[in-house]
Amino acid sequence: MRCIKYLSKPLNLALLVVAAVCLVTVAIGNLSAQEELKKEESTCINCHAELEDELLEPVTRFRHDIHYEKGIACDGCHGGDSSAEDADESMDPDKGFIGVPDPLEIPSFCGKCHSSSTYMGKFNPALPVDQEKKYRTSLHGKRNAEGDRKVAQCASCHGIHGIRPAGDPLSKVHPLNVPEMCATCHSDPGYMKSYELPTDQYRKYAEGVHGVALLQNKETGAPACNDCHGNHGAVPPGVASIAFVCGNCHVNNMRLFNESPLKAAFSELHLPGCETCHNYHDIPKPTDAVVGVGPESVCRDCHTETKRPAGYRVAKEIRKHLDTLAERTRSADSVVVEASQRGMDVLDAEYRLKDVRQALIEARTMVHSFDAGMVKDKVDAGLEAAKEAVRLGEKAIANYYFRRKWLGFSTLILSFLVLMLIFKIREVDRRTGR
Amino acid sequence: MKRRSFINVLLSGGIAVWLGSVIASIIAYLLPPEAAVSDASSVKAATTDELEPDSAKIFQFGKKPGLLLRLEDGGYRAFVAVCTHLSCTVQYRKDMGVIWCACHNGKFNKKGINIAGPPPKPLDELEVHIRGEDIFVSKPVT
Repeated sequence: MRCIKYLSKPLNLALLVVAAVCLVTVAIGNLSAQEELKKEESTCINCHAELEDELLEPVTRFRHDIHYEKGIACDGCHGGDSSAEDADESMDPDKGFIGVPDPLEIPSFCGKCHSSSTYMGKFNPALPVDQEKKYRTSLHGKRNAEGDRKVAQCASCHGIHGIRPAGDPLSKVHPLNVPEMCATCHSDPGYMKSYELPTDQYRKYAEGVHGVALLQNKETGAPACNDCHGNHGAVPPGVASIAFVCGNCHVNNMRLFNESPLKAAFSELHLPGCETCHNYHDIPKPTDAVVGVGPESVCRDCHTETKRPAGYRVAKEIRKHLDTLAERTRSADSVVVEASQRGMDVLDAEYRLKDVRQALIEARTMVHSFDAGMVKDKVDAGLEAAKEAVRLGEKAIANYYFRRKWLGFSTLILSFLVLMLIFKIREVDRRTGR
Repeated sequence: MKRRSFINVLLSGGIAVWLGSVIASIIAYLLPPEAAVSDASSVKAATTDELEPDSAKIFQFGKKPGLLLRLEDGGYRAFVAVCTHLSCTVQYRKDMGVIWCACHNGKFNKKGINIAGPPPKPLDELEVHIRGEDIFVSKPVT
Protein backbone atom coordinates (compact mmCIF):
# COMPACT_ATOMS: atom_id res chain seq x y z
CA MET A 1 0.00 0.00 0.00
CA ARG A 2 2.81 2.29 0.95
CA CYS A 3 4.36 1.56 -2.49
CA ILE A 4 1.19 2.53 -4.33
CA LYS A 5 1.00 5.61 -2.26
CA TYR A 6 4.61 6.43 -3.16
CA LEU A 7 4.00 5.94 -6.88
CA SER A 8 0.87 8.00 -6.82
CA LYS A 9 3.04 11.08 -6.58
CA PRO A 10 3.75 12.22 -10.19
CA LEU A 11 7.40 13.17 -9.55
CA ASN A 12 8.28 9.81 -8.00
CA LEU A 13 6.60 7.95 -10.87
CA ALA A 14 8.51 9.96 -13.45
CA LEU A 15 11.83 9.24 -11.71
CA LEU A 16 11.06 5.53 -11.64
CA VAL A 17 10.24 5.47 -15.38
CA VAL A 18 13.47 7.29 -16.23
CA ALA A 19 15.49 4.82 -14.12
CA ALA A 20 13.81 1.85 -15.78
CA VAL A 21 14.50 3.23 -19.26
CA CYS A 22 18.16 3.72 -18.36
CA LEU A 23 18.50 0.18 -17.03
CA VAL A 24 16.85 -1.33 -20.12
CA THR A 25 19.10 0.76 -22.42
CA VAL A 26 22.25 -0.36 -20.59
CA ALA A 27 21.09 -4.00 -20.65
CA ILE A 28 20.35 -3.85 -24.40
CA GLY A 29 23.74 -2.16 -24.95
CA ASN A 30 25.55 -4.93 -23.07
CA LEU A 31 23.66 -7.58 -24.95
CA SER A 32 24.57 -5.98 -28.30
CA ALA A 33 28.25 -5.77 -27.31
CA GLN A 34 28.29 -9.41 -26.28
CA GLU A 35 26.62 -10.45 -29.50
CA GLU A 36 29.11 -8.36 -31.44
CA LEU A 37 31.96 -9.98 -29.52
CA LYS A 38 30.62 -13.44 -30.17
CA LYS A 39 30.11 -12.63 -33.81
CA GLU A 40 33.66 -11.29 -34.07
CA GLU A 41 35.40 -13.93 -32.01
CA SER A 42 33.37 -17.00 -33.03
CA THR A 43 32.42 -19.97 -30.93
CA CYS A 44 35.83 -21.58 -31.39
CA ILE A 45 37.70 -18.62 -29.91
CA ASN A 46 35.20 -18.10 -27.11
CA CYS A 47 35.45 -21.73 -26.01
CA HIS A 48 39.20 -22.09 -26.48
CA ALA A 49 39.80 -18.85 -24.59
CA GLU A 50 38.47 -20.60 -21.50
CA LEU A 51 40.70 -23.65 -21.95
CA GLU A 52 44.31 -24.05 -20.90
CA ASP A 53 47.76 -24.78 -22.32
CA GLU A 54 47.87 -26.13 -25.87
CA LEU A 55 44.12 -25.68 -26.28
CA LEU A 56 44.37 -22.02 -25.29
CA GLU A 57 47.49 -21.35 -27.36
CA PRO A 58 45.72 -21.16 -30.76
CA VAL A 59 43.57 -18.28 -29.47
CA THR A 60 46.52 -16.34 -28.06
CA ARG A 61 48.55 -16.76 -31.21
CA PHE A 62 45.73 -16.35 -33.70
CA ARG A 63 45.08 -12.75 -32.65
CA HIS A 64 48.43 -11.82 -34.32
CA ASP A 65 47.86 -14.01 -37.34
CA ILE A 66 47.61 -12.52 -40.83
CA HIS A 67 44.55 -14.70 -41.49
CA TYR A 68 42.79 -13.29 -38.43
CA GLU A 69 43.68 -9.76 -39.57
CA LYS A 70 42.15 -10.50 -42.97
CA GLY A 71 38.94 -11.72 -41.35
CA ILE A 72 39.39 -15.45 -41.94
CA ALA A 73 37.85 -17.36 -39.05
CA CYS A 74 38.92 -20.75 -37.67
CA ASP A 75 36.51 -22.64 -39.92
CA GLY A 76 38.28 -21.10 -42.92
CA CYS A 77 41.05 -23.65 -42.38
CA HIS A 78 39.67 -26.22 -39.94
CA GLY A 79 36.21 -26.52 -41.41
CA GLY A 80 33.11 -26.87 -39.19
CA ASP A 81 30.98 -23.91 -38.29
CA SER A 82 32.52 -21.15 -36.19
CA SER A 83 29.18 -19.39 -35.91
CA ALA A 84 27.33 -22.34 -34.35
CA GLU A 85 26.74 -21.67 -30.68
CA ASP A 86 27.08 -25.28 -29.65
CA ALA A 87 30.65 -26.64 -29.53
CA ASP A 88 29.67 -30.08 -30.87
CA GLU A 89 27.78 -28.46 -33.71
CA SER A 90 30.67 -26.17 -34.58
CA MET A 91 33.03 -29.18 -34.67
CA ASP A 92 30.63 -31.42 -36.57
CA PRO A 93 32.47 -33.54 -39.20
CA ASP A 94 29.31 -33.36 -41.27
CA LYS A 95 29.95 -29.63 -41.53
CA GLY A 96 33.45 -30.29 -42.83
CA PHE A 97 35.29 -30.09 -39.51
CA ILE A 98 38.74 -31.64 -39.87
CA GLY A 99 40.36 -30.56 -36.61
CA VAL A 100 44.16 -30.74 -36.50
CA PRO A 101 45.40 -31.63 -39.97
CA ASP A 102 47.87 -34.44 -40.46
CA PRO A 103 51.36 -33.13 -41.41
CA LEU A 104 51.04 -35.06 -44.65
CA GLU A 105 47.90 -33.13 -45.50
CA ILE A 106 49.10 -29.66 -44.54
CA PRO A 107 50.51 -28.67 -47.97
CA SER A 108 47.19 -29.34 -49.69
CA PHE A 109 45.38 -27.96 -46.62
CA CYS A 110 47.11 -24.58 -47.09
CA GLY A 111 47.14 -24.97 -50.86
CA LYS A 112 43.32 -25.02 -50.93
CA CYS A 113 43.43 -21.25 -50.75
CA HIS A 114 47.05 -20.38 -51.46
CA SER A 115 47.07 -22.14 -54.84
CA SER A 116 44.01 -20.29 -56.03
CA SER A 117 44.78 -17.02 -57.77
CA THR A 118 41.07 -16.15 -57.74
CA TYR A 119 40.80 -16.58 -53.99
CA MET A 120 44.18 -15.04 -53.07
CA GLY A 121 43.56 -12.15 -55.44
CA LYS A 122 40.82 -10.96 -53.11
CA PHE A 123 43.38 -10.39 -50.36
CA ASN A 124 46.66 -9.69 -52.13
CA PRO A 125 46.86 -10.03 -55.92
CA ALA A 126 50.67 -9.73 -55.74
CA LEU A 127 51.06 -12.95 -53.74
CA PRO A 128 52.38 -15.93 -55.71
CA VAL A 129 50.12 -18.99 -55.84
CA ASP A 130 52.68 -21.59 -56.83
CA GLN A 131 54.02 -22.40 -53.37
CA GLU A 132 52.43 -25.85 -53.17
CA LYS A 133 53.54 -26.69 -56.69
CA LYS A 134 57.12 -25.69 -55.90
CA TYR A 135 56.99 -27.47 -52.56
CA ARG A 136 56.11 -30.71 -54.32
CA THR A 137 59.35 -30.39 -56.32
CA SER A 138 61.48 -29.84 -53.22
CA LEU A 139 63.15 -32.53 -51.17
CA HIS A 140 60.84 -31.63 -48.30
CA GLY A 141 57.81 -31.99 -50.56
CA LYS A 142 58.95 -35.29 -52.04
CA ARG A 143 59.54 -36.82 -48.62
CA ASN A 144 56.22 -35.47 -47.41
CA ALA A 145 54.52 -37.14 -50.37
CA GLU A 146 56.30 -40.37 -49.46
CA GLY A 147 54.73 -40.27 -46.00
CA ASP A 148 57.47 -38.63 -43.92
CA ARG A 149 55.65 -36.77 -41.14
CA LYS A 150 58.88 -35.26 -39.74
CA VAL A 151 59.87 -33.42 -42.86
CA ALA A 152 59.19 -29.71 -43.14
CA GLN A 153 55.83 -28.60 -44.48
CA CYS A 154 54.15 -25.18 -44.49
CA ALA A 155 53.56 -24.98 -40.73
CA SER A 156 57.14 -26.02 -39.90
CA CYS A 157 58.47 -22.81 -41.41
CA HIS A 158 55.57 -20.35 -41.23
CA GLY A 159 54.32 -21.38 -37.82
CA ILE A 160 50.89 -22.35 -36.62
CA HIS A 161 48.15 -19.80 -35.86
CA GLY A 162 50.61 -16.95 -35.28
CA ILE A 163 51.47 -16.75 -38.97
CA ARG A 164 52.79 -13.33 -40.01
CA PRO A 165 53.65 -11.98 -43.47
CA ALA A 166 57.27 -12.57 -44.50
CA GLY A 167 57.99 -8.84 -44.37
CA ASP A 168 57.07 -8.65 -40.68
CA PRO A 169 60.27 -8.72 -38.59
CA LEU A 170 58.50 -11.02 -36.12
CA SER A 171 57.70 -13.56 -38.84
CA LYS A 172 59.64 -16.81 -38.74
CA VAL A 173 60.35 -16.38 -42.43
CA HIS A 174 61.54 -12.77 -42.27
CA PRO A 175 65.01 -12.68 -43.92
CA LEU A 176 66.71 -12.01 -40.59
CA ASN A 177 64.97 -15.01 -39.00
CA VAL A 178 65.24 -17.54 -41.82
CA PRO A 179 68.63 -19.06 -40.83
CA GLU A 180 67.50 -19.67 -37.27
CA MET A 181 64.18 -21.05 -38.50
CA CYS A 182 65.90 -23.56 -40.79
CA ALA A 183 68.34 -24.40 -37.99
CA THR A 184 65.44 -25.48 -35.77
CA CYS A 185 65.51 -28.79 -37.61
CA HIS A 186 68.79 -28.74 -39.51
CA SER A 187 70.95 -28.08 -36.42
CA ASP A 188 69.21 -30.73 -34.33
CA PRO A 189 71.39 -33.88 -34.53
CA GLY A 190 68.62 -36.06 -33.10
CA TYR A 191 66.04 -34.79 -35.55
CA MET A 192 68.36 -35.02 -38.55
CA LYS A 193 69.87 -38.38 -37.63
CA SER A 194 67.54 -40.42 -39.80
CA TYR A 195 68.33 -38.22 -42.81
CA GLU A 196 72.10 -38.63 -42.41
CA LEU A 197 72.60 -34.92 -42.98
CA PRO A 198 75.22 -32.73 -41.30
CA THR A 199 73.95 -30.35 -38.64
CA ASP A 200 76.70 -27.73 -38.67
CA GLN A 201 75.37 -25.61 -41.54
CA TYR A 202 73.95 -22.87 -39.32
CA ARG A 203 77.11 -22.59 -37.21
CA LYS A 204 79.24 -22.45 -40.34
CA TYR A 205 76.92 -19.98 -42.05
CA ALA A 206 76.82 -17.70 -39.00
CA GLU A 207 80.63 -17.55 -38.98
CA GLY A 208 80.84 -16.91 -42.73
CA VAL A 209 80.78 -13.59 -44.53
CA HIS A 210 77.09 -13.86 -45.40
CA GLY A 211 76.06 -14.89 -41.89
CA VAL A 212 77.99 -12.04 -40.31
CA ALA A 213 76.42 -9.56 -42.74
CA LEU A 214 72.88 -10.81 -42.13
CA LEU A 215 72.87 -11.90 -38.51
CA GLN A 216 75.31 -9.43 -36.99
CA ASN A 217 75.12 -6.41 -39.26
CA LYS A 218 71.42 -6.92 -40.02
CA GLU A 219 71.98 -6.34 -43.74
CA THR A 220 68.85 -7.84 -45.21
CA GLY A 221 70.46 -7.76 -48.65
CA ALA A 222 72.82 -10.54 -47.53
CA PRO A 223 71.68 -14.03 -48.45
CA ALA A 224 69.87 -16.31 -46.02
CA CYS A 225 69.42 -20.07 -46.58
CA ASN A 226 66.53 -19.63 -49.02
CA ASP A 227 68.47 -17.28 -51.30
CA CYS A 228 70.76 -20.12 -52.37
CA HIS A 229 68.55 -23.16 -51.77
CA GLY A 230 65.19 -21.72 -52.77
CA ASN A 231 62.33 -21.53 -50.31
CA HIS A 232 59.28 -23.51 -51.26
CA GLY A 233 61.23 -25.49 -53.86
CA ALA A 234 64.24 -25.94 -51.53
CA VAL A 235 66.93 -28.22 -52.89
CA PRO A 236 70.67 -28.33 -52.42
CA PRO A 237 72.22 -26.60 -55.43
CA GLY A 238 74.03 -29.10 -57.64
CA VAL A 239 77.66 -28.80 -58.67
CA ALA A 240 76.74 -27.33 -62.04
CA SER A 241 74.42 -24.70 -60.61
CA ILE A 242 76.63 -23.36 -57.80
CA ALA A 243 78.14 -20.63 -59.99
CA PHE A 244 74.66 -19.59 -61.09
CA VAL A 245 73.45 -19.41 -57.51
CA CYS A 246 76.41 -17.28 -56.40
CA GLY A 247 76.31 -15.36 -59.68
CA ASN A 248 72.84 -14.06 -58.91
CA CYS A 249 74.56 -11.50 -56.72
CA HIS A 250 78.24 -11.79 -57.72
CA VAL A 251 77.53 -11.18 -61.39
CA ASN A 252 80.96 -9.91 -62.43
CA ASN A 253 82.77 -12.73 -60.68
CA MET A 254 80.58 -15.31 -62.40
CA ARG A 255 81.02 -13.67 -65.81
CA LEU A 256 84.80 -13.51 -65.45
CA PHE A 257 84.99 -17.09 -64.23
CA ASN A 258 82.80 -18.36 -67.07
CA GLU A 259 85.00 -16.59 -69.59
CA SER A 260 88.20 -17.90 -68.00
CA PRO A 261 90.11 -21.04 -68.93
CA LEU A 262 89.36 -22.45 -65.49
CA LYS A 263 85.70 -22.89 -66.34
CA ALA A 264 86.47 -25.82 -68.65
CA ALA A 265 89.15 -27.18 -66.32
CA PHE A 266 86.76 -27.20 -63.34
CA SER A 267 84.06 -28.89 -65.42
CA GLU A 268 86.50 -31.56 -66.50
CA LEU A 269 87.40 -32.30 -62.90
CA HIS A 270 83.73 -32.06 -61.79
CA LEU A 271 84.63 -29.24 -59.44
CA PRO A 272 81.96 -26.69 -58.50
CA GLY A 273 82.74 -23.19 -59.70
CA CYS A 274 82.75 -21.08 -56.54
CA GLU A 275 82.88 -23.38 -53.54
CA THR A 276 86.13 -25.01 -54.63
CA CYS A 277 87.96 -21.86 -53.54
CA HIS A 278 85.41 -20.12 -51.31
CA ASN A 279 83.75 -23.05 -49.46
CA TYR A 280 80.04 -23.08 -48.81
CA HIS A 281 78.11 -22.15 -45.66
CA ASP A 282 81.33 -21.06 -43.88
CA ILE A 283 82.41 -18.75 -46.67
CA PRO A 284 85.26 -16.64 -45.26
CA LYS A 285 85.64 -12.97 -46.08
CA PRO A 286 88.10 -13.20 -48.96
CA THR A 287 91.57 -11.73 -48.50
CA ASP A 288 94.54 -11.43 -50.84
CA ALA A 289 96.16 -14.27 -48.89
CA VAL A 290 93.95 -16.87 -50.61
CA VAL A 291 95.47 -15.85 -53.96
CA GLY A 292 98.99 -16.76 -54.96
CA VAL A 293 101.29 -19.46 -53.68
CA GLY A 294 101.56 -18.57 -49.97
CA PRO A 295 100.55 -20.85 -47.10
CA GLU A 296 96.91 -19.64 -47.11
CA SER A 297 96.57 -19.80 -50.87
CA VAL A 298 93.78 -21.92 -52.35
CA CYS A 299 95.54 -21.94 -55.73
CA ARG A 300 98.12 -24.32 -54.27
CA ASP A 301 95.41 -26.95 -53.80
CA CYS A 302 95.69 -27.64 -57.53
CA HIS A 303 98.85 -25.82 -58.68
CA THR A 304 102.42 -26.31 -57.52
CA GLU A 305 105.76 -25.64 -59.12
CA THR A 306 105.67 -29.12 -60.58
CA LYS A 307 101.93 -29.85 -60.84
CA ARG A 308 100.13 -27.64 -63.37
CA PRO A 309 102.95 -25.05 -63.07
CA ALA A 310 101.41 -22.54 -65.49
CA GLY A 311 98.61 -21.85 -63.02
CA TYR A 312 101.17 -21.61 -60.22
CA ARG A 313 103.04 -18.89 -62.10
CA VAL A 314 99.85 -16.98 -62.93
CA ALA A 315 98.72 -17.15 -59.30
CA LYS A 316 102.09 -15.87 -58.14
CA GLU A 317 102.02 -12.99 -60.60
CA ILE A 318 98.44 -12.01 -59.77
CA ARG A 319 99.31 -11.95 -56.09
CA LYS A 320 102.36 -9.80 -56.79
CA HIS A 321 100.18 -7.24 -58.59
CA LEU A 322 97.59 -7.23 -55.81
CA ASP A 323 100.28 -6.84 -53.14
CA THR A 324 101.86 -3.95 -55.02
CA LEU A 325 98.58 -2.03 -55.20
CA ALA A 326 97.56 -2.95 -51.65
CA GLU A 327 100.92 -1.72 -50.33
CA ARG A 328 100.73 1.46 -52.41
CA THR A 329 97.17 2.04 -51.18
CA ARG A 330 98.33 1.78 -47.58
CA SER A 331 101.26 4.16 -48.12
CA ALA A 332 99.09 6.68 -50.02
CA ASP A 333 96.56 6.44 -47.24
CA SER A 334 99.15 7.09 -44.56
CA VAL A 335 100.50 10.16 -46.40
CA VAL A 336 97.01 11.62 -46.72
CA VAL A 337 96.17 10.80 -43.09
CA GLU A 338 99.41 12.48 -41.96
CA ALA A 339 98.53 15.61 -43.96
CA SER A 340 95.03 15.55 -42.51
CA GLN A 341 96.34 15.19 -38.95
CA ARG A 342 98.51 18.24 -39.51
CA GLY A 343 95.33 20.19 -40.17
CA MET A 344 95.76 20.54 -43.93
CA ASP A 345 92.95 20.47 -46.47
CA VAL A 346 93.22 17.03 -48.12
CA LEU A 347 89.89 16.83 -49.92
CA ASP A 348 91.44 16.33 -53.36
CA ALA A 349 93.86 13.72 -52.07
CA GLU A 350 91.04 11.82 -50.36
CA TYR A 351 89.01 12.02 -53.53
CA ARG A 352 91.88 10.41 -55.44
CA LEU A 353 92.27 7.81 -52.70
CA LYS A 354 88.75 6.64 -53.47
CA ASP A 355 89.90 5.83 -57.00
CA VAL A 356 92.80 3.86 -55.57
CA ARG A 357 90.54 1.79 -53.34
CA GLN A 358 88.10 1.21 -56.18
CA ALA A 359 90.92 0.02 -58.44
CA LEU A 360 91.97 -2.42 -55.71
CA ILE A 361 88.43 -3.78 -55.43
CA GLU A 362 88.17 -4.12 -59.21
CA ALA A 363 91.58 -5.79 -59.39
CA ARG A 364 90.47 -8.28 -56.75
CA THR A 365 87.31 -8.99 -58.75
CA MET A 366 89.47 -9.40 -61.86
CA VAL A 367 91.25 -12.29 -60.12
CA HIS A 368 88.29 -14.40 -61.30
CA SER A 369 89.54 -13.99 -64.86
CA PHE A 370 92.74 -15.83 -63.83
CA ASP A 371 94.46 -13.52 -66.29
CA ALA A 372 97.45 -11.70 -64.79
CA GLY A 373 97.36 -9.13 -67.60
CA MET A 374 93.78 -8.10 -66.84
CA VAL A 375 94.61 -7.78 -63.15
CA LYS A 376 97.67 -5.71 -64.00
CA ASP A 377 95.60 -3.26 -66.07
CA LYS A 378 93.41 -2.51 -63.06
CA VAL A 379 96.42 -2.38 -60.76
CA ASP A 380 98.19 0.09 -63.05
CA ALA A 381 95.16 2.40 -63.00
CA GLY A 382 95.21 2.16 -59.20
CA LEU A 383 98.94 2.87 -59.01
CA GLU A 384 98.47 5.98 -61.14
CA ALA A 385 95.71 7.20 -58.83
CA ALA A 386 97.86 6.35 -55.79
CA LYS A 387 100.73 8.36 -57.23
CA GLU A 388 98.46 11.37 -57.59
CA ALA A 389 97.05 10.93 -54.09
CA VAL A 390 100.58 10.73 -52.66
CA ARG A 391 101.61 13.83 -54.63
CA LEU A 392 98.65 15.78 -53.26
CA GLY A 393 99.26 14.47 -49.74
CA GLU A 394 102.97 15.28 -49.83
CA LYS A 395 102.23 18.70 -51.26
CA ALA A 396 99.89 19.36 -48.34
CA ILE A 397 102.58 18.23 -45.88
CA ALA A 398 105.20 20.41 -47.64
CA ASN A 399 102.79 23.31 -47.43
CA TYR A 400 102.43 22.66 -43.71
CA TYR A 401 106.22 22.86 -43.17
CA PHE A 402 106.42 25.89 -45.45
CA ARG A 403 103.89 27.67 -43.28
CA ARG A 404 105.74 26.72 -40.09
CA LYS A 405 109.07 27.95 -41.47
CA TRP A 406 107.59 31.23 -42.55
CA LEU A 407 105.84 31.66 -39.24
CA GLY A 408 109.21 31.24 -37.53
CA PHE A 409 110.85 33.63 -39.97
CA SER A 410 108.19 36.30 -39.54
CA THR A 411 108.44 35.95 -35.75
CA LEU A 412 112.18 36.56 -36.04
CA ILE A 413 111.60 39.62 -38.19
CA LEU A 414 109.05 40.99 -35.75
CA SER A 415 111.38 40.37 -32.81
CA PHE A 416 114.19 42.09 -34.73
CA LEU A 417 111.91 45.04 -35.45
CA VAL A 418 110.99 45.38 -31.79
CA LEU A 419 114.69 45.31 -30.90
CA MET A 420 115.52 47.95 -33.46
CA LEU A 421 112.70 50.12 -32.21
CA ILE A 422 114.08 49.91 -28.69
CA PHE A 423 117.53 50.96 -29.95
CA LYS A 424 115.97 53.78 -31.95
CA ILE A 425 114.00 55.06 -28.99
CA ARG A 426 117.12 55.01 -26.80
CA GLU A 427 119.09 56.82 -29.47
CA VAL A 428 116.42 59.50 -29.87
CA ASP A 429 116.31 59.87 -26.07
CA ARG A 430 120.08 60.31 -25.94
CA ARG A 431 119.98 62.87 -28.74
CA THR A 432 117.31 64.93 -27.14
CA GLY A 433 119.07 64.62 -23.74
CA ARG A 434 116.14 63.05 -21.91
CA MET B 1 128.44 54.34 -41.13
CA LYS B 2 127.27 56.11 -38.05
CA ARG B 3 125.41 54.19 -35.40
CA ARG B 4 122.25 56.24 -36.04
CA SER B 5 122.32 55.47 -39.77
CA PHE B 6 122.97 51.81 -39.05
CA ILE B 7 119.91 51.56 -36.80
CA ASN B 8 117.81 53.45 -39.36
CA VAL B 9 118.86 51.04 -42.13
CA LEU B 10 118.08 47.99 -40.00
CA LEU B 11 114.76 49.45 -38.86
CA SER B 12 113.74 50.39 -42.40
CA GLY B 13 114.75 46.97 -43.69
CA GLY B 14 112.82 45.24 -40.92
CA ILE B 15 109.73 47.32 -41.63
CA ALA B 16 110.04 46.58 -45.35
CA VAL B 17 110.23 42.81 -44.76
CA TRP B 18 107.32 42.98 -42.32
CA LEU B 19 105.25 44.96 -44.81
CA GLY B 20 106.19 42.42 -47.50
CA SER B 21 104.95 39.51 -45.37
CA VAL B 22 101.68 41.34 -44.65
CA ILE B 23 101.13 42.12 -48.35
CA ALA B 24 102.06 38.55 -49.37
CA SER B 25 99.48 37.18 -46.92
CA ILE B 26 96.82 39.51 -48.32
CA ILE B 27 97.63 38.49 -51.90
CA ALA B 28 97.58 34.78 -50.94
CA TYR B 29 94.19 35.34 -49.30
CA LEU B 30 92.75 37.14 -52.32
CA LEU B 31 93.91 34.59 -54.87
CA PRO B 32 91.55 31.58 -55.21
CA PRO B 33 92.78 28.44 -53.43
CA GLU B 34 93.99 25.51 -55.50
CA ALA B 35 91.26 23.19 -54.24
CA ALA B 36 88.21 24.04 -56.33
CA VAL B 37 85.89 22.21 -53.96
CA SER B 38 85.73 22.66 -50.25
CA ASP B 39 83.98 20.40 -47.80
CA ALA B 40 81.07 22.80 -47.85
CA SER B 41 77.61 21.33 -47.99
CA SER B 42 76.86 22.80 -51.44
CA VAL B 43 78.75 22.71 -54.75
CA LYS B 44 78.08 23.80 -58.29
CA ALA B 45 77.67 20.52 -60.15
CA ALA B 46 76.87 21.65 -63.70
CA THR B 47 75.18 24.27 -65.82
CA THR B 48 71.69 23.87 -67.26
CA ASP B 49 72.96 23.44 -70.84
CA GLU B 50 75.47 20.76 -69.87
CA LEU B 51 73.40 17.59 -69.65
CA GLU B 52 71.08 16.05 -72.21
CA PRO B 53 67.89 14.41 -70.90
CA ASP B 54 68.55 10.82 -69.76
CA SER B 55 72.22 11.40 -69.03
CA ALA B 56 74.39 12.03 -66.00
CA LYS B 57 77.74 13.35 -64.83
CA ILE B 58 80.06 12.68 -61.95
CA PHE B 59 81.23 15.70 -59.97
CA GLN B 60 83.34 16.16 -56.87
CA PHE B 61 81.25 16.62 -53.77
CA GLY B 62 83.72 17.23 -50.97
CA LYS B 63 85.90 14.16 -50.73
CA LYS B 64 83.26 11.97 -52.36
CA PRO B 65 81.99 11.77 -55.92
CA GLY B 66 78.47 12.95 -56.64
CA LEU B 67 76.19 11.88 -59.49
CA LEU B 68 73.96 14.44 -61.15
CA LEU B 69 71.27 12.71 -63.16
CA ARG B 70 69.11 14.49 -65.70
CA LEU B 71 65.85 12.60 -66.09
CA GLU B 72 63.99 12.04 -69.34
CA ASP B 73 61.44 14.70 -68.39
CA GLY B 74 64.24 17.23 -67.93
CA GLY B 75 64.23 17.16 -64.13
CA TYR B 76 67.33 16.55 -62.04
CA ARG B 77 68.28 14.20 -59.24
CA ALA B 78 71.60 13.96 -57.43
CA PHE B 79 73.15 11.30 -55.25
CA VAL B 80 76.39 10.59 -53.45
CA ALA B 81 77.90 8.35 -56.12
CA VAL B 82 79.28 5.86 -53.60
CA CYS B 83 77.94 2.32 -53.79
CA THR B 84 76.48 1.16 -50.48
CA HIS B 85 78.15 -2.22 -50.90
CA LEU B 86 81.91 -1.60 -50.92
CA SER B 87 82.02 2.16 -51.63
CA CYS B 88 82.94 2.00 -55.33
CA THR B 89 81.93 4.93 -57.50
CA VAL B 90 78.66 4.30 -59.32
CA GLN B 91 77.77 5.61 -62.76
CA TYR B 92 74.63 6.06 -64.84
CA ARG B 93 74.12 3.45 -67.57
CA LYS B 94 71.82 4.85 -70.22
CA ASP B 95 71.62 1.47 -71.97
CA MET B 96 70.23 -0.17 -68.83
CA GLY B 97 68.43 2.87 -67.45
CA VAL B 98 69.97 2.31 -64.02
CA ILE B 99 72.73 3.61 -61.80
CA TRP B 100 75.35 0.91 -61.93
CA CYS B 101 78.35 -0.13 -59.88
CA ALA B 102 81.20 -1.60 -61.90
CA CYS B 103 82.73 -3.46 -58.96
CA HIS B 104 80.00 -6.03 -58.28
CA ASN B 105 77.27 -5.14 -60.74
CA GLY B 106 75.09 -3.49 -58.14
CA LYS B 107 72.14 -1.60 -59.59
CA PHE B 108 70.05 1.28 -58.33
CA ASN B 109 67.01 2.77 -59.99
CA LYS B 110 66.77 6.44 -60.91
CA LYS B 111 65.53 7.18 -57.41
CA GLY B 112 68.73 5.71 -56.00
CA ILE B 113 66.99 2.65 -54.59
CA ASN B 114 69.00 -0.57 -54.67
CA ILE B 115 67.24 -2.95 -57.05
CA ALA B 116 69.80 -5.64 -57.90
CA GLY B 117 73.13 -7.05 -56.83
CA PRO B 118 74.82 -6.80 -53.46
CA PRO B 119 74.16 -3.17 -52.38
CA PRO B 120 72.22 -3.38 -49.11
CA LYS B 121 70.92 0.19 -49.01
CA PRO B 122 69.82 2.98 -51.36
CA LEU B 123 72.24 5.72 -52.40
CA ASP B 124 72.33 8.87 -50.28
CA GLU B 125 70.29 11.49 -52.09
CA LEU B 126 71.37 15.10 -52.42
CA GLU B 127 69.30 18.19 -53.06
CA VAL B 128 69.40 19.95 -56.42
CA HIS B 129 68.88 23.71 -56.70
CA ILE B 130 68.88 25.59 -59.99
CA ARG B 131 69.97 29.23 -59.74
CA GLY B 132 69.97 30.93 -63.11
CA GLU B 133 72.08 28.74 -65.37
CA ASP B 134 73.90 27.00 -62.56
CA ILE B 135 72.94 23.74 -60.90
CA PHE B 136 73.93 23.49 -57.27
CA VAL B 137 73.85 20.29 -55.29
CA SER B 138 73.75 20.28 -51.53
CA LYS B 139 73.42 17.95 -48.59
CA PRO B 140 69.79 17.60 -47.56
CA VAL B 141 68.76 19.57 -44.52
CA THR B 142 68.10 17.15 -41.69
